Amino acid sequence: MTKEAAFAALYETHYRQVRALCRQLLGTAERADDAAQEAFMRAYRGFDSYDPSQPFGPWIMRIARNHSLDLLRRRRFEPAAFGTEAEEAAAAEADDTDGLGELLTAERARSVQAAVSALPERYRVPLALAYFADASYDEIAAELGITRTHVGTLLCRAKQALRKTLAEETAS
Amino acid sequence: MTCLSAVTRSMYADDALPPEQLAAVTAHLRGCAACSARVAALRTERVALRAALQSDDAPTKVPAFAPPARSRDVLLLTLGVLGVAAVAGGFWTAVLQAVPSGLQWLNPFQTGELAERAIGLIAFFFNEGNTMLTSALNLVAATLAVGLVAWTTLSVAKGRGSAAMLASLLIVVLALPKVGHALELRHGDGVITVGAGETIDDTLIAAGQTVAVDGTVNGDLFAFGRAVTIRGNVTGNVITAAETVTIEGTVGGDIVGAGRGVSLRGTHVGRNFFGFGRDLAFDRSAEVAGNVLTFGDTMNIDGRVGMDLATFGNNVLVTGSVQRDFEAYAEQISVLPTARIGRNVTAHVDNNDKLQVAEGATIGGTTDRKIVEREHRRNRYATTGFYVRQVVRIGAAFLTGLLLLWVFPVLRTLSLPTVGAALRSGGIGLAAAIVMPVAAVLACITIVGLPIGILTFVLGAIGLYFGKTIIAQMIGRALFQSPVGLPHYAATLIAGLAIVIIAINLPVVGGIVNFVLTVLGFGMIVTVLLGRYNSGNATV
Repeated sequence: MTKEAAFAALYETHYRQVRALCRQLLGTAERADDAAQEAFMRAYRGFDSYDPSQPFGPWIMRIARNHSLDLLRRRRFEPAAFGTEAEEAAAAEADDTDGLGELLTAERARSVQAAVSALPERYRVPLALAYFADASYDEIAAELGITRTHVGTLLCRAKQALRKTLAEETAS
Repeated sequence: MTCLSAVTRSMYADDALPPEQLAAVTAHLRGCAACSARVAALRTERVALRAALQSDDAPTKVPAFAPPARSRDVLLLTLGVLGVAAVAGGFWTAVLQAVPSGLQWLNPFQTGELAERAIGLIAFFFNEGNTMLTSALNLVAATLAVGLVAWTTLSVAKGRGSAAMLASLLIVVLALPKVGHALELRHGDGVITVGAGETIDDTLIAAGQTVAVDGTVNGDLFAFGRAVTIRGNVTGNVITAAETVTIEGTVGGDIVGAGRGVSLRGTHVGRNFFGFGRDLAFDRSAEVAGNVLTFGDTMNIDGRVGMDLATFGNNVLVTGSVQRDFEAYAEQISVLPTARIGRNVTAHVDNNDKLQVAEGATIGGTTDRKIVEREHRRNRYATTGFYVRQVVRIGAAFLTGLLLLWVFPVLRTLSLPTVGAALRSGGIGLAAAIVMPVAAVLACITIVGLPIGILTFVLGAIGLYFGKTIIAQMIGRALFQSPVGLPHYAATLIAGLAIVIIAINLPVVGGIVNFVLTVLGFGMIVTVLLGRYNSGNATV
């Protein structure tokens, strides 16, 4: 199989995952489309250095993640954009919602995804990294240039915001 | 003991608490039912949230992936196209020399071909001479500049949006006039004049209803209008197009003149004269030091030609002197008693009577009548040359098409799924086919834009050439459409090309078919270039 054909097959298999990650990190469909294409373009260029004995999924997801975070950084997305830890922590304690396990059914996946897209960047990005890309708190802290507890606070706030949106939606 | 904070609960549920806090939190949870319940709910939520985020229930369409064209491939494509063009060119030169019936393009009804050859010749002669080196350097510099600007624009635009792109454009606009300073532009609706006492030490571009140059231009002169009259002195080349062109002064370089009537009266031309027009006149006192090449209906050559004279036309009348060879393709050629030809006369005519050489005319070499066989010209479908030519055409289109599809795999699978898409592609193609030459001409008007203009023109021409290839590939795919899948793209391409070549050679409708297919395919290419083509469908 030629390089091109091998790559095309991997592209077919992994495109959706990659685009979904970009969608959640970047927030809009247009940016996600571009970023996903660019991620595969980069993977294609570096395909000669890829070790076929390793799984392709994590590799391409890592490329897409780095590229998306680069894009966010270039749009003046700095640690300051995440607010201060103290402010966020105070806001987190003021909110007293419980986890809404029963609301997050598989049937609601679409509205959950839409709600995530609508979150402010400072909540959306850590949330996508933690629950979609399965990144650890330490990894997220390093990538966003904030402390580990700040990550915890933002994730807590992100989930609170998400609960609010989904509860309102259910009520209406 | 106070209960756990919301953040602590959340981090605990994510198994992300630092070890030093973990023991205390675990101890609290053992004794606090409220906190335990909340943590349990958070754990359930985490699982559900993960599942919801990773679920693929809103399927996204997978757009076609086009691997980037490698510079090596682009180079190969260019070389391939040039190679095939050279082989085809060489082949036709040989065929035209060997087979008189191959001279079909002399047929006045095939004006398209005549114009094509004329444009080819102009392009060739434009590139010749001392301007070649300068323009080559300009081209390299301009390409670098354009590349740099494009790269900057692209990278900046990706990062910071449209504001930075506007800034780059502004830089380009500001930079342009600096480079093009050695140029004077005069234009208006009325009369544009360069007075008798006036001297212009730059390249002059003059456009107006009437252009009259009585002074001196120390550089090239580009003059366009209804009537152009040059009585002064131009040290460089003169490139002019007007309804009537009259040149009476002295021109140091070449003259390229096009118009209904082009006449040289007492003109002294330092190099060559290329004339295109209905009536071309060259009076007794006019002198061209180099070659004269004319295309037209009626031509009167009365002056002195320093080297060769070649004419293509209807009526050719020679009364002046030609220092070297005289060759003409014409309906009627007359060499009058006053004429003096230094070497050979070659006439391509229908029969012996069509070349008349008067008694007193002096001819240094031989007089050769090459008879063009009319019978073969009447019906182009009845000549072998026609079929050989179509086979070569398919071959050339196939080879270049293969290279194109190999380098740009995205072009292999283009389709026009709806009437709307077809209309859109056709519209875009037509618009691009009209806009590109206009843009090229506009670019040519500024000297720095000349290479860019030529580049635009060449790229446009390549795009138009490949238009039918794209359509052929589409037709080929439609032909072989079957549940088992498609054969190699080479097979679909050659099948499609055969159909396209037959269709465009059909009597009566062939021309229209050719036009529509070219415009449609060109539109598809332009759409792909604009990056809007996404397997024929818009994405979410």
